[in-house]
Amino acid sequence: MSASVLVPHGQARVPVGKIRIKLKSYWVDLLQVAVDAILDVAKTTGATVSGPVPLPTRIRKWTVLSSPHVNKDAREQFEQRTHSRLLDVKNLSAETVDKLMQLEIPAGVNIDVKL
Amino acid sequence: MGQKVHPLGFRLGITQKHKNYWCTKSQTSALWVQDASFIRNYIEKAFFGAGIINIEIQRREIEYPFISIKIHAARPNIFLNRNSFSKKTTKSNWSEGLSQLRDNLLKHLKKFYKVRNLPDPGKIFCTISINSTNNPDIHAMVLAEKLVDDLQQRKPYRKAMRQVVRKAIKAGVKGIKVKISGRLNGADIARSEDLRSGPVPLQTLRAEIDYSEKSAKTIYGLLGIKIWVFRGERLTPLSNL
Repeated sequence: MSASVLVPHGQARVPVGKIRIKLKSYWVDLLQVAVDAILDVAKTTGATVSGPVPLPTRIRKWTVLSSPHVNKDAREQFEQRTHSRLLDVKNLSAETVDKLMQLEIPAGVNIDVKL
Repeated sequence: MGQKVHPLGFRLGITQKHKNYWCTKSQTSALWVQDASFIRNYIEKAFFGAGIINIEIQRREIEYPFISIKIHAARPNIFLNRNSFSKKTTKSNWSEGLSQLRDNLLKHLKKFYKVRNLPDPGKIFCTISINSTNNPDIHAMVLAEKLVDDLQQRKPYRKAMRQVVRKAIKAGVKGIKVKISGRLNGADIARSEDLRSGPVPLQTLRAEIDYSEKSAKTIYGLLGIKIWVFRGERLTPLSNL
């Protein structure tokens, strides 16, 4: 998609295109930490990032009977919210890819990387 | 009788942190819940006297299983000395003791996988860390364990309850409620007694309430123990970091 270009740093760009990173988590603050870490890596290695796009939150609900026997009208409801963010990292260099692979992300975040 | 919601579950996300951290599909999540429950049971049984307050488990979804366990304990030295399968009496080296604990735990975990007819997970990467607290008596788990011990040694229950309350107040809690149910003093008819001191606002979501439920085995049957500890209100939102 993009040809390799020499930029003022002097680093040669690898013609890889872009990486699409999708982050999912049940906790918003952990997600923010992960997003910040990736943005940091991209900034220090000179890649451009299409900012974190918040995708719609998926809510999964469960309704269960709260009594051990009869009492059908008494229930308890639970929900599980999955927040997601989308990041596109462009103008990659080998250094960016290396650092991204080694990045340590908090345990409650699920990462999906598509090249 | 089942009318009160579990105070820890009620406050998840508000004043209570989750004890397990992961985010995966529901099928793997179901397996991981079983694993987490197994790990907790194993650690609590193997290190009974250590005053375990909390076990946090974190898992990541990578090619190999990656588990990170953080144990908060009141008396962490027991982890060093009582590595149940070792013949040596004392270990002066923390990392030695911890790595033995980890190896034993992984051995049992793999057996647990076999029992459930699941494929062997291969090499499990596991890190264990132990944190100690300087003030163990403000945690309900520690107080409940002490009370269980006392009751199983047949101490008079009212005196034991009063001692627990006194200990907690000396340690600086704002309110405590202790409830014992069952065949008190071996009576034919079971009843429940409770002892309170200070405010314990169960309806306030921003109140930091620690709760623990344990059972004591006596010759007359089981005595159920519930302890609620109120440690003050938390006005800023909780952060999971």
